[in-house]
Amino acid sequence: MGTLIFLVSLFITKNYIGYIPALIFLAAVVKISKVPFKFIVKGMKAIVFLLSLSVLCNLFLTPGEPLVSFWKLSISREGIKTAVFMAIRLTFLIIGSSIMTLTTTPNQLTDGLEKGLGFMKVIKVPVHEIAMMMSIALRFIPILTEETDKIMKAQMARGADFESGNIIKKIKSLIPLLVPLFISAFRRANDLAMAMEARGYRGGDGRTKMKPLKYHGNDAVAYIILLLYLAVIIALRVLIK
Amino acid sequence: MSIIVNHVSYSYNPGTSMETKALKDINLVINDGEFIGLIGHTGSGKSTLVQHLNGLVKPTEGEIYYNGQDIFNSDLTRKELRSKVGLVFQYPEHQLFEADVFSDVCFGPKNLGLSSKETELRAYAALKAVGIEDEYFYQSPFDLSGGQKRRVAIAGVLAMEPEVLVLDEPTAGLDPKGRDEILEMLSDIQKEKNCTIVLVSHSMEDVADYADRIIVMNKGEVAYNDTPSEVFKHYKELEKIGLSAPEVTRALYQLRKEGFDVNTDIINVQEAVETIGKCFGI
Ligand SMILES: Nc1ncnc2c1ncn2[C@@H]1O[C@H](COP(=O)(O)OP(=O)(O)OP(=O)(O)O)[C@@H](O)[C@H]1O
Ligand SMILES: [Mg+2]
Repeated sequence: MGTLIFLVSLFITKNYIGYIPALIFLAAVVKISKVPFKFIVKGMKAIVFLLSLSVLCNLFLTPGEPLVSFWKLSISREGIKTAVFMAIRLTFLIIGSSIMTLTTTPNQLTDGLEKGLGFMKVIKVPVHEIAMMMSIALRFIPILTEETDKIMKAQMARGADFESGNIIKKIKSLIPLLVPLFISAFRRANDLAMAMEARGYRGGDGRTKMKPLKYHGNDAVAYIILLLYLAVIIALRVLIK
Repeated sequence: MSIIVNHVSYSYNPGTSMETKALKDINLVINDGEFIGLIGHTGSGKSTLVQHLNGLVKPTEGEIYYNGQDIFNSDLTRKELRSKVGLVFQYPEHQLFEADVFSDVCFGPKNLGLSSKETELRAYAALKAVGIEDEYFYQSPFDLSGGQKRRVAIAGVLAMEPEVLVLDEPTAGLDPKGRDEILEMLSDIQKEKNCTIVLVSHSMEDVADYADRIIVMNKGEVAYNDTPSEVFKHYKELEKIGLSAPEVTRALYQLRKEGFDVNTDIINVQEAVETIGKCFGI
């Protein structure tokens, strides 16, 4: 939840001053989470390419008064500004979301979501069901990747070719992969539904949890800080034009 | 004409914290026309090893030679290799995708670039070889029974007319009758086509009757590599690595321990029955 708000807040911000509270907030979260700094740096390495690509694009493609220009490319003041701005934004985005995935298990995540959005039950939004669907979806991602790999290998053993050819050929070559994949996904979904029903699952009402998510004092504090942070960001956005 | 596996090691996810050493320094020779049983406990690396044989996985260390050519370092193209070494995956019925049985079997030969006439001839022969009747040819493969689906999937590889046929647990999840039928069918195919067969399984009983040679894998290494009766002599060690020798072998060894003079090399159930009968004067 907090992460979501944080990510949204990054997009609200339009200038450097807005990043100061974001930086403070992020630094505090990193400190509290006790995630080793090495881990975060490692996560950053993976997106260095994406980061530099976006910096380069912004650098050269933003129109404005040219500072340096050679050949057909020119770097403008605005270009530098947006490039740096985007770089910071991306970095924050990645760190923010990687902290979430490093500290929170998918179960906690959906539990938190269920609780955080609990107030929406009043207007008949099936929060529990949505959270359940999310946790099942998360759970299925690794299974499906594995399955894809297996089917791909099996079809390659039958001489299938997923790499060469033009675009139409490539799309066609996906059929032998996608059909079995969908069938197995449906079969799994069906099995899971049966298994859940066989154990008497019937939605959220009156359901108890094996490990109920209990909010303690510091969770409340976290919510307050989060709201405060959001307020600051919005205020900055409104006040500073 | 053979496959040579030379000092092959393989790790999944090398260099990460999740590194798994699936194969450790494997050396093997698979000769022409042999029927080989590849046995091992769950996770011993059987599937990983057979995926090396047709170049689906590249060894982290070591080389694999097919008829004297390094499969990753020669003119031999992947396509050629995969048409020569046919691999049937574990649960091959999960790879069916066409609207009818016949076109699904055509998929392999068509990928080899054969003419449509040749493709259809091969598909027809392959479906016949696995015992699928004409009436099923234009049904959806998804409407068949589990055993039939498996046969169709095997036909899909057979239609490529490989010289070496590798099958990863073709009997998994079948009832005893279905299992015997598949094994019998493979043995017939081998006799008829004179091809090499590598059969992966975790049951000794599956392969005892048919295999010329048994390769036992344990934790990514080759534990035994010999004729069935030689391998079964180690029935006590086999139990330690999660496998058991066929019941016949165990019964005969028990009899010998009790002082009966029996030939413990017998594998065939019929012969064993006769031998045991003699012991008790029946
Ligand atoms: N895609 C993969 N990613 C990571 N590790 C894997 C992968 N596939 C297999 N392994 C690991 O490699 C080892 C050998 O697996 P393999 O599938 O070759 O075993 P197997 O002998 O075929 O077992 P089974 O009888 O269950 O089919 C196992 O420890 C397994 O956890
Ligand atoms: Mg396997």
